[in-house]
Amino acid sequence: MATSRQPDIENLTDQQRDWVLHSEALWREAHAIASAHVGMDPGDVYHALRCLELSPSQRLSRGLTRVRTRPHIG
Amino acid sequence: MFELVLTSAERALLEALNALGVRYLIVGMGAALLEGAPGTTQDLDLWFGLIDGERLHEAARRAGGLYTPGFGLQPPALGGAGLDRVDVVLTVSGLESFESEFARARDYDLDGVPVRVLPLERVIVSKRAAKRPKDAAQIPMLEAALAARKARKELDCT
Repeated sequence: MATSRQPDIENLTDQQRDWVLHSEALWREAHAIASAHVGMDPGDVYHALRCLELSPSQRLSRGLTRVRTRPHIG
Repeated sequence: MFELVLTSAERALLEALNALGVRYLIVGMGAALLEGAPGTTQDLDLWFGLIDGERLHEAARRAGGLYTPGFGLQPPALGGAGLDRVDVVLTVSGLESFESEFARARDYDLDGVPVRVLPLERVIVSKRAAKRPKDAAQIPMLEAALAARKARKELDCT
């Protein structure tokens, strides 16, 4: 659920603060994109935007649910 | 840290298919994942325009696996250690000919192996046409990913 309350970002590390601010920006972008499509879930758009920040191999790796059955360094 | 996604057998298979001139497309949810959809799948679906048993057999052999042309209810399949996630796809619902789809497919580098991938918008067309409950359930997520992709104009996929 969205909230207008600002997080206490002063107590976060630089890395955590960057993540929070970037995440919030992505949520804003996701809501803007979803608002142009009837019934679209901003959460789905947010996770897609996150995926687009990964390399194609990383995206596939996250989504392939069956584990490798053999070492991949041959 | 760079993490490989393919098994050594899967990589060897794709390299062999490429070397032997066997044309294939990654389709289904595997394609959607590569295009940025935040979903999951158990399989890597390879759509072959032409089933050339001799070359598929040789590609499987180079990957340490096997190819069976199918018999009874068993469809053509690639198998063996490290190849259990690969599915052979003969037809895809709702799409145009293999040649047409291959021509508009996108190029990706997958663990150093060049592959061609069905674009997300075409995956959505095929999922709609399949009319299976599990495909219908994925469509809202796929459409959200397509909207995100268009918004980002994320077309550089190498």
